[in-house]
Order: sequence, then C-alpha cells, then structure tokens
Amino acid sequence: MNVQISSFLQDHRVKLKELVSLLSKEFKYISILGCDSSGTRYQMMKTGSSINESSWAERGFVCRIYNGRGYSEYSFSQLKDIEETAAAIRQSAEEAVILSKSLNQVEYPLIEEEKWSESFRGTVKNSPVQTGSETIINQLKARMDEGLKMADFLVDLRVIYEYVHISKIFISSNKDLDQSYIWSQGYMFPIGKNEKGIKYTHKSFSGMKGTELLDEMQDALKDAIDEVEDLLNSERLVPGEYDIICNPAMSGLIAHEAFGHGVEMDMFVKKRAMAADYMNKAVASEKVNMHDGAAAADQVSSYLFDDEGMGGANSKIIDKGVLKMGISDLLSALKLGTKPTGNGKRQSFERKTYTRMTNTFFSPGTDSLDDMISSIDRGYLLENFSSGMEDPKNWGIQCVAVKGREIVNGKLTGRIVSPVFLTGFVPDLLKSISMVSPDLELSGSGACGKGYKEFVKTSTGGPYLKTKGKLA
Amino acid sequence: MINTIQKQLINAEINEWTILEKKSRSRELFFIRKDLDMNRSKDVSSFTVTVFKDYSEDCKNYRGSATVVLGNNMTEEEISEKLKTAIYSASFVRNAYYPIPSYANPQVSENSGRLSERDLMPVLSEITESLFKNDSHSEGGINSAEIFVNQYEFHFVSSKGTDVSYKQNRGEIELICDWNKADKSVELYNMFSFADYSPSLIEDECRTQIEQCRFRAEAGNAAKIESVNIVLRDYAVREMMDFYRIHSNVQGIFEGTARGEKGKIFQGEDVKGDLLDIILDPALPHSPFSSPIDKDGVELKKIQLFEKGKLLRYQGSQQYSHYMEEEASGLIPNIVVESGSHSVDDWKKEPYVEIMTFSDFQMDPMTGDFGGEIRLAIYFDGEKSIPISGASISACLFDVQKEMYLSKERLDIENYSGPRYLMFPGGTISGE
Repeated sequence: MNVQISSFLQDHRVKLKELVSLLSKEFKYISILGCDSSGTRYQMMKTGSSINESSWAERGFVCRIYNGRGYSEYSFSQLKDIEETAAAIRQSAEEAVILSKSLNQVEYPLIEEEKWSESFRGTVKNSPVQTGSETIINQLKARMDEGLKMADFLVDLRVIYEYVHISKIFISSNKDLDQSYIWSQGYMFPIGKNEKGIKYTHKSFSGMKGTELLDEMQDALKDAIDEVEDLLNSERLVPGEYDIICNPAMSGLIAHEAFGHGVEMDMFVKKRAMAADYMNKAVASEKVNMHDGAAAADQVSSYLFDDEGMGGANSKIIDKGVLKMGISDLLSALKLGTKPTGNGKRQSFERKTYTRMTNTFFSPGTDSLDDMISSIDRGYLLENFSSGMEDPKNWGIQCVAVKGREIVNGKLTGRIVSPVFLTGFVPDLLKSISMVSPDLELSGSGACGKGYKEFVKTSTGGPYLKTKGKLA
Repeated sequence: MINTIQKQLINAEINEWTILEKKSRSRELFFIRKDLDMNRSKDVSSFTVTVFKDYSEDCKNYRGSATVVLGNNMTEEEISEKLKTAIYSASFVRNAYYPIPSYANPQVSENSGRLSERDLMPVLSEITESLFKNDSHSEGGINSAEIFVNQYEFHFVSSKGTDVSYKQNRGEIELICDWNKADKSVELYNMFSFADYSPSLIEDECRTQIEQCRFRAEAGNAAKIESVNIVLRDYAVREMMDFYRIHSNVQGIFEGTARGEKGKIFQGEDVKGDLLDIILDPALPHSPFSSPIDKDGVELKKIQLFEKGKLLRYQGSQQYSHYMEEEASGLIPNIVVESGSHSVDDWKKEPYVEIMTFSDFQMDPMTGDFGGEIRLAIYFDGEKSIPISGASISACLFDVQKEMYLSKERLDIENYSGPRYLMFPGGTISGE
C-alpha cells in the first residue's frame, strides 16, 4: 500500500507558501521544512508491557533565512498567524545582526536553487495502523512466551516493535517538495543469568516496512537466545593484536564509525577531518569499496530529499581503496565550493542541520567466510556490536563487539570472549583488509549521534571482512 | 489546551490520566573558531498524555496504559482521534494493577538565575565571553563550539488532583578543542550542561580541555601496562557511581536484572577500598535535571540510598515500587556521593595511569563491564610522567568494586556531586 502524506502538512501548504512569499521581500533566501511524523513503540517484557508514542514523533516547522552574511533559523510548532510567525523569524535574523557587532560572522554565499517540484510516497506491505495494537502486542507476546520456554537461564526476553510514519514538506521560492514513508524497527533482548552474572544481547530488524517486519523477527529467536548462552559462558579476552573477521553488523559499524563520520564534510569546514588531506589517496586495501546515500540502498535512511531540500544521492566514497569523495550538507558544500550530496539531516525540526550519514556500507567481494576462517592461525570472529565512537580528526576508532569467537589453526574453537573493544588507527585497519565476502546486509535499528547528541536514523552494513585489529 | 484534553478524556469515560505540558524556548549559537557560524531560536510546546484502563481477568486486577504526545497545533478532532487510539491501545497492555500517585496541593516552583531571564541575548554574550576567555594560544584552542540556552516550563496535572508547575533551565555547551604541532594535530571533545550561568565553570572547562589537547599532542602510543593503579576521573566516575543507582532500582530488582539486596553491602564482604555512601537529591542546585516530581507525578524527596556500602532501600517508579510493596521514591535524577578517604595525590606516589579522557567511556548498566579507548592518559612509571594515547582498558565493576578508592577532591557536574577521582589497583592497559 502507498503511504499517505500528513493532512496537517497538506493543510498548511498554502500558509507556508504565503509565509515564504511574505519574507522573500525582505530576505534573499527563505525556506521552510515542515515535519509531521507519528509512530508507536510496542514493548513486551516478562513483567509487563507498554504502548507509547515513538520518540521519533514530531510535528512542527523550521525556517531558514539568509541574514545578509550567513543563515539564521527559527523552529516553531504553531503556525496560527503568518505575521506573528514572520516577526519571530525576523527577530532571529535581527539577533544575528546584533551579534555580528561583537563577533565575526562566518560568511556564506547565497543559496541558488533550481526549480524542483516533486512528491515521493513510500510503500509497505502491511500498514501498522491497519494491523492494530491488539495484533501487534499479541505477536510480541507470542515471541516472548515462545522464547522464554526455550531456555531456563533466561531472566527476561524483551520484544519491541516500533514504526514511524514520516511526512515532510519543503517550501522555498523555487522548491515545492513533499515525501511520506514508513520505517519500522524491531528488537529482541534476551537476558540470561547464571552463577557468573548477567549477560544479554540484542537482535535487531529494520526497514522501509510496516508490520511485515514482525514475521522476520520470528526466525531470529533461537539465534538470539543461543547468543546469550554463549555470553554467559564467555571469558575475558587477552588484549593484543589479532587477525579478525568482522561479521556484516560489525563491518557496518566500522564503515560508519571509521569512515562515515570521517568524511562528513561539515568536519572539513571546521578542519576537524583528517580525510580532507587524503582525497584521491589510498586509505584502504584495493578490496575496499564503500558507499553512502539515501539513494544507495532501501533502508531507514532512504528518502527523496534531505532536510535542506536537496535530493538524495548514491556517493561512492572509497573506490578500490582510494578515497574519492566526502558527503555533505548544503551549507558545508557552499562553503567548500563542492556539490551537496543530500546528506543534510536534522534530529527533528527543533534542531540544526549537520552533514549526516544515510545508508553507509562496504560493497561485497568474492571471498568465502570458510576461507577466511581457515586462513587464520590465531584470531577472532567478531559478531554484532553494542556501540562505537568516531574520531574524525585523528582517525582513532572504538568499536565494541558483543562477542568474539576464537579461531585457532583455521578453526572455530567454540571459546567465546566478551565484550571486545576494537581500537586503532582507521587506515591501518582498512589497509589490512585482505578478504571480503559476497554478503551484504544493512541494518538501521538504533540511532546515530554526532558527538553525544543530534540523533538521526542511519543504516549500516557490509560483508564479512578479514583484517587485523587491536582488541581488548 | 489542557482543558480541551481533560474534557475529551472525561467524554471518553477515562477516569485515570496524567498530562505533562512542556514549553521549550531556546537561543543557540554555533561557532567555528571564534566566528559565529549560525544562530538559531526555538519556541515549541507539547503535551504528553497517559491514559489508564483497568480490567479484571481470572480474579486478578490489571491496569493498561498508553502514552501519546499532542501538539498545540492539533485540532480538537485530531486530539480526539489520538486519544481514542491511545485508549484502544491501553486495553491491550496487561500490567498488574498499580495506583497512580496523588498529592492534591497545587504547587508552583519558580526558577531563578541568569538562564531564567526573558531576554537571553545578554546571557549568551556573557557565556560566549567566558568560553573564549582562555582561548589565547597560538598552537591551539577552541576549534568549534555550540552554545544552547534552553528554558523549559512544565505543568503536570493528573486525575488524582495533582497540579504542579515548575521550570528548568539548561545551558549546554559542546566544545571541541585542538592543538597543532608541526607533525601532529589533535582534538578533544566535550559536552557539558548546567542549570545556571557560572563564568568559572565555563572558563575552567575550556582551560582544562585546551591543556589536555596540548598533552594529547605530546602523547605517544602506549605500550601494554599490566598490574598498575588505574585512576579514573570526571564523567567516567559519574557513570560508575550511577551503576549503583541502577542496581537499586525497583524495576530491575523486580525483573531480576538488578543485583542490589536491601540491608546488604553491595560491594561484597571484606571490602578493602572505600564503602559507598550515596544520596539521591531531586533538588541538587547545580543540576539542570532537578525537578519536584517525576514523569508519573511522584513527589520527589531526598533519600539516602547507600550508607557505608549497605543498600538501605530500593528506589524507582510508582508502578514497580507498588509491586515490590516499597514506598515509591520516584525517579530521582541526581546522585550525591560522599567523598572518599584519600586525596588523589596519595595515589600518585606509586606508578599509576590516570585516564584523562576516553573516546567514549562505556559502562554496561547490567553486566558491570566498562572500558573504552583512551584519548589521553598520564602514565607515571615511578620516576617520570608521560602522556599516552590510543590504548584501551576493559574491566568489570563487579571485579573492581572490592578494592576501589574514592577521592577527597570533589566534582559538581550536571546531575552528579561526588568524588572527582576513583582508583583501583591491578588494572591492565592494552597497548602496542
């Protein structure tokens, strides 16, 4: 079924155009992004359940104007009176003028836009609204009950499904865009306990899908519970440098943390990115190809236009080991004299735009996982991740894998270590990639922050990769 | 708007409900070096409504609930539709019955301080001045910064007659500093928040961070260091102390995921280090999270949680406190920890590694595993101190807590007031 755009935004379209028209007489550039996203998070756990509005829900507007030197913004939730809103927007520009008396202001060129008018409607198989709360919560309960019967060591099995219906409208003098789509995500969190303590893991699911995602969750139940059993019997790793294989989830995290954040070009403007010095230079082995883009994959960060009204793209960041391009929001591209890549995203209409990743992944190769394992004398197969952190300036990397499977003399020994901190210098890690599998899986559960804030949806993924890494 | 929502709830025959109105107003400045990159402002509001539905099955009482967020931009029809959906959803949530809290005295809590002022432009100018005051080095300084001044007004009402209005102010600064040598350029990241404008807090954060950048530029890659005293500080200590709050939470206790036992010493028998004294204080003056009530409407009061290591009581939400037959403390956001027995200087007479900043300190709230990549540490080998970078540490608090020491030196940051430093012996730093 086609996803319908919010009637709230449709109803406001005329008023928004009037506001743009009114302020265009005073400001050389004005644009308004309208957002109306709704959704629900369903959670089932042993001791109870909950149904709450998704934390991704939002409804409001953000206006950007050219204040003569740079750009000012005003976020608001109510558009009752156009004159009143216009006054608040003017005040934001006036404050920039006042501030410029005591502070230097970064000067930006004027945004020049070509005419573009287009709509995008996503499709899902099953609408969450039509499926209804009763069916959804019952399905989650069925998963939980089934899982809890599978192992005595389980303290709990939390099962979560969340959908968000996104509607956005972008209006400026030359643009009239709207888009609407649904993404869903689901999690299973089995928690186990034995005499050594508590361990837990998660299996996550995501996509531009409706409640059809619930069917995918069934298949992973046993894997999730087996992983907790592995973790309960796990040991601590002896720190050192090892041959490692990263599973697709872990590869995705490396693509995201190691390189994705490093090529966000607002970091180039601030001279915070080492990548700026490596353009058209080798940064990885020849086996490595990496993409990002709203149009590069069909996952939770796929869209027609970004939060600055720029079209989504498919950017090939690394081509056969050579860094070819970065990703960029509109203002950074204006400052750098480069082409924006449709990567300007906001946490919500209440926040600023930054350069953000969309769907980021390593391309598949030709090596089999079995060949990778048999090629290692002593090392680990790293599976799944719990967190990661970027360091674009110094290309340090911190990725935390849920577990590592020990490999000795080309075979998995059955010994599990957990948790595993993978650290090191990004080019060292990427240049050590010697084998790449044909698999490609993307996942978009969770949220990506910039530093410790500005959370947005992204997806990451890749094939199995063999490389070397420092583990602790 | 609250009257409209209340009227619709009554029409829908919903007897139990809570409404939290939140108005947010902000001024935001974004800097690249000392230059203003963008200014933003915000004026938004929302209403979080929770509806409850009771029912019985097999002689047991159940309470379902569902929460929706409404906007002041919604029509009465939209509000009605959203509330209907929430009421429908609540009938499928199957939780054992629990009462919602009540206290009928209407209360208004005002907030003072510079961040309360209606015209925030002068305050923003002062914060900017404080931020850049110590940015005076030719080799490095502030790379970029973001200043947010947020004013929040809350109004909580419930079907039990609760009617509380209160304000919160939150200043937030994201600060990236760097240092450039001929062959090396490094940076460090920091994000901190505060309830009131304090020039010394902002100036000190900036000065310390620039100083740490200078050290990081001089730091070499660490070799593996085994069996050494590890000194943690600042935000890492706060995260570790918060672990003890999590393990005293009624929900975790009820679910079997928290390990606190009332009346017992959490750190175990024969503790060699400092025993913990922890208070939860909802009105901590410097905390931007201080609040008179929690999200369910529980009136928050100061409580002693741990005394000489012994867990005195559980703490947490109304729902799970009822299940555990405990008095509900509510969800108290602030933690106060008693100082330890030693000064940090006492520990620095022997070899140690003091971890100044992590890439991202991770403290697993359930398993106790903690660690991260070290962006900057100082290693004292008994003779000389050298800055190191790039190594990592990984350990478990359940292993460490039997011999860990807290400093006399204190720190007041965000929702934390307590020892600035924590030391445990026998740590290992992975390295080359």
